[in-house]
Amino acid sequence: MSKVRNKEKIDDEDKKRGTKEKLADVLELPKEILLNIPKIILLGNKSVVIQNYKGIFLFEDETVKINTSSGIVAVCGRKLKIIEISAEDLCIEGKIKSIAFINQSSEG
Amino acid sequence: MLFKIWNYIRGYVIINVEGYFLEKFINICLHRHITMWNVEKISNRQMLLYMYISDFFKLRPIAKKSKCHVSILKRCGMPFFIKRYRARKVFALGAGISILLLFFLTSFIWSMEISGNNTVDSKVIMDRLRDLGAKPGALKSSINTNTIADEMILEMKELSWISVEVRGTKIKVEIAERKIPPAIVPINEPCDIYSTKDGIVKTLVVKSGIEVVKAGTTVKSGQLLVTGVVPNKNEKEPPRIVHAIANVKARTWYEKSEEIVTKVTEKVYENTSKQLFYLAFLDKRFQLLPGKIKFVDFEKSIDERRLSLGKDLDLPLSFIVESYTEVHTQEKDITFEEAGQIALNKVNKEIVEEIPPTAEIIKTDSRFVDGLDGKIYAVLTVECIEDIGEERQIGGK
Repeated sequence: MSKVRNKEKIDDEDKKRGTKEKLADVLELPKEILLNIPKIILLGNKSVVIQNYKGIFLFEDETVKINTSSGIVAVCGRKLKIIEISAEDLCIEGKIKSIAFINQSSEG
Repeated sequence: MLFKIWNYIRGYVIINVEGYFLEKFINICLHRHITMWNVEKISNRQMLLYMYISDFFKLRPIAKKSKCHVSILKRCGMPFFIKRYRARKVFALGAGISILLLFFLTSFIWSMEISGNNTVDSKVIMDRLRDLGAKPGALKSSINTNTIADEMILEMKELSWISVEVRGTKIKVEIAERKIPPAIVPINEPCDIYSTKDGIVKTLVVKSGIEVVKAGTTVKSGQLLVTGVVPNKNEKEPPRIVHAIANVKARTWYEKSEEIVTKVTEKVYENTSKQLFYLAFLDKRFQLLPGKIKFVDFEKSIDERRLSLGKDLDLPLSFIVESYTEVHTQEKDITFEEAGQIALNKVNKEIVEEIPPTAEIIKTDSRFVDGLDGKIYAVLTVECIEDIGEERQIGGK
């Protein structure tokens, strides 16, 4: 029973998200704020700026894992360095090899 | 760049964080709105990061919570700089005094620059300016450029336009000279035409008046050429007096001679030279290193370097280097041809200055003549065609 209810809840959330997305589309508002999802800006393989994140999960020379509302974003590369970090955004520089979403909380 | 300046003003610290939960440390910092930059992981349990001083004081509880050890590696920025110099009161006083002195010194005029004059001597203009109060050492606020320009224009007839400008600590004076027009007799006043030079009249074109001389006549300077007194056909009537107009062209000669000297004195520069250094404040000079010039004959060159801020802000201090090079004169024989050429060149230069620019040179002749005193002279004769007519009013008012 609880599973079904859980499923319904997820469906409900999905619906909610859907309407919000539509609203953002209609009003041409920035989605990352309305939907509370991270905005990731990549500059070549040199730097990546992530806005609207939740926190740092792991910080190492070759991998940085960042906790966001769309799951954990893993930035892999070499000589990674956090150039700037504040409550709003995070800028990582180095030789970036890959960016991946892992352990996503809601599939689809 | 701007970011860096801002960071410098606010002041920041480079800190070393050691511990096993570095991510936790960062997250708590973020939660408390602490901005960090240049976060670098050195080893598994050590990282370096930059943060503002104000944020650093919030770290103690965070360090305790995340079980990290925090230590300062370096303090950067203005707050630390000021703190370091707070104890040095005399230093601050000196800095303040130097700024005040700079303001004080730049409120005076220290130099003058005159441009645009060809015939009027800069010194004459400078003396006039000095009389009007615009001189080195005068207060800038006491100078009214407009009144000075007006006074100058009224006083000096040679000027047709003047601009006086105070730029930094410099007075810039720009002038345009008036071309004094030749005295022309008004067209409705009667006049005669007289000769200005000796010569032979070549052509005589009379538009009004009666010619006195004919083409081919030898005339002297000041001789009447064309008269404005026209006799009436009826001899009983008094003559008509008109404004004579004529174009009188005449052949004129210019001649100059110069002795040919085959012995010339030549300057020979020695390798010995000496420099004297001076520091000058306004007109006062102070010698920096003791020294005297013992050369009998020397050539002197002065190199003055003015202390200035930028282009226009001259300060009354200057550094002067006087270089002396020892010379001695030596007599040298040159060939007759060379000596003749030198003499001719000299004569030519003198003659060219004498010939008016409107004259047309038709013949130049150079020759060497034995003088009565046994010397040989180079003689240059230049034949020109030029206008020699000059109007002179009849019965002068």
